[in-house]
Amino acid sequence: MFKSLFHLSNPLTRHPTRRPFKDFYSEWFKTLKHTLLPLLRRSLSSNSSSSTTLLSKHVEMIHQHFQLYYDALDNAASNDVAQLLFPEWRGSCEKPFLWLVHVGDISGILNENWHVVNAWNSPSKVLITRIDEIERGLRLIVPALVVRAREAQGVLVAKIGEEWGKNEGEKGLVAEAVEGNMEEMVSVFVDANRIRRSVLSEIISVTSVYQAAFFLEGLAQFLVGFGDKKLVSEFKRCRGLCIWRNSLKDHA
Amino acid sequence: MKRASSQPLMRRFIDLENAEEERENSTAVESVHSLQPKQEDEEEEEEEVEEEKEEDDVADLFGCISLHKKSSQSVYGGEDLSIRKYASWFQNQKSIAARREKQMKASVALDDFIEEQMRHFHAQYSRGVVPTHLEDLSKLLMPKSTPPNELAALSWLGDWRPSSILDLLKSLSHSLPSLSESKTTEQVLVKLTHDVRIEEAVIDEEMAEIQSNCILHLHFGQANKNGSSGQALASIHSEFKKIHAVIIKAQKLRYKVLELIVKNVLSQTDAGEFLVAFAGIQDSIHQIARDQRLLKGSVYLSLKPQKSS
Repeated sequence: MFKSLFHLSNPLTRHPTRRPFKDFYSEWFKTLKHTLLPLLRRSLSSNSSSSTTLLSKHVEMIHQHFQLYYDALDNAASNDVAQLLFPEWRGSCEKPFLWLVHVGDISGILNENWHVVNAWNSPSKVLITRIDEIERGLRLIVPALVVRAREAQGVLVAKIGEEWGKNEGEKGLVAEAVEGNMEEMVSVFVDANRIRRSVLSEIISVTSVYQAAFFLEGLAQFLVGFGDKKLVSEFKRCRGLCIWRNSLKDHA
Repeated sequence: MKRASSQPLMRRFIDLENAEEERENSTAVESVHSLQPKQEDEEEEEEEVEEEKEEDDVADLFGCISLHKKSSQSVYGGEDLSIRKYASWFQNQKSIAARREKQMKASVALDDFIEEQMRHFHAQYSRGVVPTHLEDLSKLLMPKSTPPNELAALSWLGDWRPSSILDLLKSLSHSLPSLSESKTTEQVLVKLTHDVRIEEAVIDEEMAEIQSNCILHLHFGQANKNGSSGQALASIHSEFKKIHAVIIKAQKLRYKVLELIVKNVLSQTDAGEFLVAFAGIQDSIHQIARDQRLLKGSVYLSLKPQKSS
């Protein structure tokens, strides 16, 4: 896995053993958008008999690409989880859809899967049962992660509050408390990633290759969609929520 | 997050109070300083309880200053006593009135300070009620002036988590007598924390619902194919409206909690103390997070194999 991360890195960087996450993400995104997604689409629309093998290969490639992303998140989390939770490099139309532990896309993956499965129109009983199980599991796990994140914040402020005003070394105390909070946030973040990774693998394993392909196409398109240049520039021009309503009418 | 500039405000308040005290002390020196120098800072209630006990001492001392002549001329000891008692009563009333006036002035100054701080927090917690650009929504959630460490440490939909404000309040009880000395207040606080956590969970649930369904609602597929981003933009707009409504709810809850703490839970003095500490802690976390961000630079991947892999 790290070989592939290294492969993506620029050999001319000052630190050959480290690489800005932003650069990794940008390259990862381009590969998804310009290589893997078009490949998947091409093999999905092909009718030849050999296309199933090819489709299966492309499904696996895109699946691995997502796993690579989650591995990279884990890796970078130990460096600075805060920047991953609040990524400056993501577009402003995308940011509101990123949640503290990115729970949105965990459940989103599942909902999307349902959408695709229903569109496919022939979900097997085993598949329905399995998806139900995953969803039930997520309903238990995700809120627990949110509670952990909330508690970490509570512990941080309580630690500071208890000592506040008692002695001179307040700055050191606050720095220590913030550091402690980051450790817990890393643990929550890594756990959230583990769930995301396993839900994705689970879905790929219980669906047929076509279902998996449609699902991954939807997921990839969702990410790629935010990076659409025309959309981003229109988005930036777009006035406030109320004013926009009128220009929406003009569009229609 | 823009924060209350607690230090200058508090300094101003303290200066005001000091000036008041100095003025008060100078008049006290002229009138009652020789009578009750130690009681200058004591509570009014305590003084009333001890009033009778002190009366004689006061009368004696007062007599030394102003009634000595009269007393020596007096033929009737009873009359002398009643005059002395009246004089001491009068003097006492004067000093109580002076203390009340001083307390009232301090109280008004404190009130002004609390009002000013609350106005500041109200403005801070009502940012972006009417966003001028769609982009503003992400600025509300991740303000550019707030370093990532500060956001990770404190942020919930753009600013402090209301239950964290309550956690902070509890942890500051060592310097807030109205909190540490009252069982009822403690119970009120437990109930408030419970209710606020429920409200937070409801808001979290709403946000999670929007985010987990956005993958269905955002129509990016068509955007690329048709070469038009109109539909994609329209769907983003519609999701943003929902998120915006959730943020407004969170902001309202945040302010409501702060208002309840300041106006209903704490005494006036403690409310002032709490607001100063709250702003000070925010400042401190902000500075540390900013320093850490500068020190660390951009987040990077370590290409050496790690345990987690």
